[in-house]
Amino acid sequence: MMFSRERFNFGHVFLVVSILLCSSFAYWLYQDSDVDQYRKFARIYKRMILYVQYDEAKELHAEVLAKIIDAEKLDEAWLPFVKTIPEKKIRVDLYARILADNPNREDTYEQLAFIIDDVFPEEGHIVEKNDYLNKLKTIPEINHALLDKHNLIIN
Amino acid sequence: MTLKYSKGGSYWSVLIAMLLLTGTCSILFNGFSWMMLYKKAAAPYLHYNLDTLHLFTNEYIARQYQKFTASSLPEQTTLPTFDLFVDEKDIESLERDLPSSAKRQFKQSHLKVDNPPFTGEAQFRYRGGLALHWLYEKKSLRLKLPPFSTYRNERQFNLVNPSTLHTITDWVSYDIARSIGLLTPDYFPARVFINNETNGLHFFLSKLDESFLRKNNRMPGSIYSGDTVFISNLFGSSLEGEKVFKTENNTSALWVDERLWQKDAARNAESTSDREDIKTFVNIINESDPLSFMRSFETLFDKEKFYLFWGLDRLVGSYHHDYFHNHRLYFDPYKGKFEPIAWDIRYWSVQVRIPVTPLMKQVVLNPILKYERDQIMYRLWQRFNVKHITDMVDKADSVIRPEFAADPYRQQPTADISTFILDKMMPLSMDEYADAINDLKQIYNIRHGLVGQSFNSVFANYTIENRTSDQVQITLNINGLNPIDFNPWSIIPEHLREDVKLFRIYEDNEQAVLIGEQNERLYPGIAVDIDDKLSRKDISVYGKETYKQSPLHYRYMIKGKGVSELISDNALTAKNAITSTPVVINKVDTLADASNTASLHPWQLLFDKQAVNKDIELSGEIIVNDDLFFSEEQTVTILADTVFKLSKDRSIFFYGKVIAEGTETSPIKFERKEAEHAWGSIVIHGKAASNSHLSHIHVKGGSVARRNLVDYPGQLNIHDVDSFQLEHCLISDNTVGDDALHVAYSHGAIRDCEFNNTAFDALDMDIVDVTVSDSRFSNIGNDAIDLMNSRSVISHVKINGTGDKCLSIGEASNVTVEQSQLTDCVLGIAVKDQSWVHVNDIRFSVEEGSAIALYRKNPRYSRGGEIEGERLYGITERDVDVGDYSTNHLKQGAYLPLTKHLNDAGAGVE
Repeated sequence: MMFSRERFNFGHVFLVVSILLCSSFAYWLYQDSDVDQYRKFARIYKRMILYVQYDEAKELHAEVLAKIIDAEKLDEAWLPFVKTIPEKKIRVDLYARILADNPNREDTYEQLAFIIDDVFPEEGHIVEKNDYLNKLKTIPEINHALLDKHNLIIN
Repeated sequence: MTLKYSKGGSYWSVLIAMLLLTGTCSILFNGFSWMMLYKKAAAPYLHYNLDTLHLFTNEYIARQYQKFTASSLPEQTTLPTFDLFVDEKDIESLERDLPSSAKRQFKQSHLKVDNPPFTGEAQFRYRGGLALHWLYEKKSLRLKLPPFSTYRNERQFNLVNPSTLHTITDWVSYDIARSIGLLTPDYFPARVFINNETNGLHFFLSKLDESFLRKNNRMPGSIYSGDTVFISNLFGSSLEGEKVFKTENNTSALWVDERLWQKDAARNAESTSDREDIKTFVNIINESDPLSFMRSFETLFDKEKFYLFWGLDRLVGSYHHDYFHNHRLYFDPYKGKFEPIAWDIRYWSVQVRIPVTPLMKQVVLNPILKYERDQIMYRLWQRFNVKHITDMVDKADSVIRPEFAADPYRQQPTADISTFILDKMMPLSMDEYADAINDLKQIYNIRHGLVGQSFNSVFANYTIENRTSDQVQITLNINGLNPIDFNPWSIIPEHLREDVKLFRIYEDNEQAVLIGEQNERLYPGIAVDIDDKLSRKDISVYGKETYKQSPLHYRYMIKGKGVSELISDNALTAKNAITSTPVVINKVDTLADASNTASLHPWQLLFDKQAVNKDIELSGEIIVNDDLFFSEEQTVTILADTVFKLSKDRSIFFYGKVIAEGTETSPIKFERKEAEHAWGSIVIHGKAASNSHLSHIHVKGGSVARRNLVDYPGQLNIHDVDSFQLEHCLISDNTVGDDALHVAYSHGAIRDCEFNNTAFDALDMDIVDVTVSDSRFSNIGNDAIDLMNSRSVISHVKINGTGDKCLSIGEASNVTVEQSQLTDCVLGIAVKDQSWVHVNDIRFSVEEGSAIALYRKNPRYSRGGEIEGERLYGITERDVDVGDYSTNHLKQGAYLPLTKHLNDAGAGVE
């Protein structure tokens, strides 16, 4: 009898644990990852532009930007989105956060290199630029070869 | 004993728990495996992390869900079904080490197709560069049939996975391309089953090879594919190889290095490694002198086809024929022209920017060529209006949609996952598909509007400068995208025109504008900038240069007493040269700076052009010590009794119309200058030579010629000419060349001609529609008449003595032969390779068993010859040799004794 109770307990505990595990797994799968979030945004945004719903598209763009702007690390999935942000200052900031997420992705360095001189023009922004570049250097596992290749080092 | 525990429910709890965990683990395991396989085969740079696992696991689930929810295939369909039966071990072998294992080996299979019916052996492998073709459950297949086995006249073809979100863009694009006359592969949807299991909706796609050319009535010739950047890294090697194919500018080296053009087909086995044509192609593109380029482009390129090809890209906004890949090129060995092949016209878009390849750059910077291109573009734009394309899309969609709904492997490429360098394929729902089709129509709607706007882009203004009281300079500034048609005399009030002179001024040259001259065309220019802000990807697609509108200035000088007082500054008028809409040209104080304009100034041509005598008359004795050339714009009249005495290997090339009309007593002769030395060829080549007429000419003692990459195998050659007439001629005693008279890509008539003592074939015709009548052939070295892929009526012809066949009719020809005599030939009539011959009233005097042979010779054709008709004199059924896959439709009564011929009223040529 006692043996049977033990089995009973074990069976139900095992079932409960299994349900918990499976539910967690299902929940994890169900949740939108950054990739999913960006894909959903991109699909809707592109169609809005195609059907000339520019105001709605602008609103959506701003909404998404507000959502990601404060993240400490930004998933590389957002790289194409960051490229479309008109304010270059915000872009360089977000590029740094994407580099923190994946320091080995060359696209990020390349895109950053294209705009960095516009954000920090030589006249009057040298210090700001150097601070920014120094900050890049401190990103864990930053790829110094790529920094060098794209001239993202202090001269 | 164990079952007893179930009373307490423990057993079921454990069982359910195990099931749940097994299911979870299975999903996780499959997601993980899929991720690992993808990394190994397609994305070695991929990082394993939770996000990536999440993506691949979700993808796995979505694909399984799609399989279970796919509807049944519609019972009624117009699509052909390809059933492939293969050994599972072969599939395993193909997938053992993707992607290399999939493409380096062909496996044996049995293929059955319902429409048109086909059943037989076929080798297969996976094909295609991108992972979508070989990594997923739905594969893109290359099928290869054995010799003499064809499906739709092709021995090799593809069944490809649709590779765009819009699915049908390729289908619609190829249909447009074909309808405008571009060399286009067959492309249509098909069902594919592998070992009785559906493999989803595929598209049949021709392989670009010799069969493709023959099927499209083109001579076998070189086909090149220009695909560079992915060559090195598609099969898993590192990206380092990429650099090999790039110039110092980081752009693709495709346009500067002929080695990057892979030769996919050749004129014949001997020319497989001959690359002279592609070297010439690359050299022309890199010609630094725009005038030299223009000449070569007009000579060696089928301009109209290139304009149509580019026009189609611009019409649909396809940027897929870019700086580094997706180019297919054919060089026609008898037309002597390069021609684009419509290939991968996809990714319709609203974007304005279309890649400008170095070839297109040469055209864009030549305002005259650019205008020719834009005119054709305008016609395309008018023809393919929004409704036209919407209807095409709807029609394609109505066929595809039910098939796609039943496709368990529907997928779409997405560029929205930035983790992947190349587009990742993801499952595609029918809702997404429906949206995609609507989006496609909207894309074209916007695109059509944008292109339409570009035709209205014309800006023009002018300045007046009084140089002296008797000289006034008017300078017109033309900007925008389109030229104007302008009458320069409109500057001057009508009542003054008799009293003044008007000149065009270009640099230090001046040229009088004659009174009564019609409108002239004034073109805008283009400026070229280097864009330093392009990403590596953009550079690889577009190159580093950007193009923008830039002005061109045109100076006129008016000279006349006191003219400065008389010219007013009213607005001038002109017409948009594309749309014919009016253009107002206002006076301004200063003109826009034209110093950045990189275009050729069209007036350079005006002043460089040598005066050409357009009508040339030749007579008397003409000694030809150097090759003679007559251009497209020249009509040459050769008078009776003219004798051309040609030196060794010298030739005469007529690219314009020829009227050579001798008489019976005063023929026109082409003969050797030195009796012991054969001259080259007489060549009549090109559409401008259409309606040429040669009568009473004697051509004797010639050989062959080669010019502008074309080999002319006859002593007389007629290539690419419409409506020619050749009559009362004597063609004889050639040496060296394959043919005495060679005709290719032409329409016309040969009447009352005599062919004697020829080295090999007397009359060789390739891809023609020509009638041959009342002609005589004797002492012929090889075949008297040799036809390939031609339509012809041969009547009242006498052939006497050939080294081979009297009539050799091959490679899908369709010929009628009537009221003729075939005497002393090794073989009377050979009907080969899908050719069809109708005979009527033919008198044979040949060896027994050598009258007619029907057979297969070229392995690219699955059928042999067919013959039908009546009244064949001098032969019996035993004289007709019917080979495999050939058909003799002649009835028993068609064979008649020779004696009967003499009695039949009106029969024969005697």
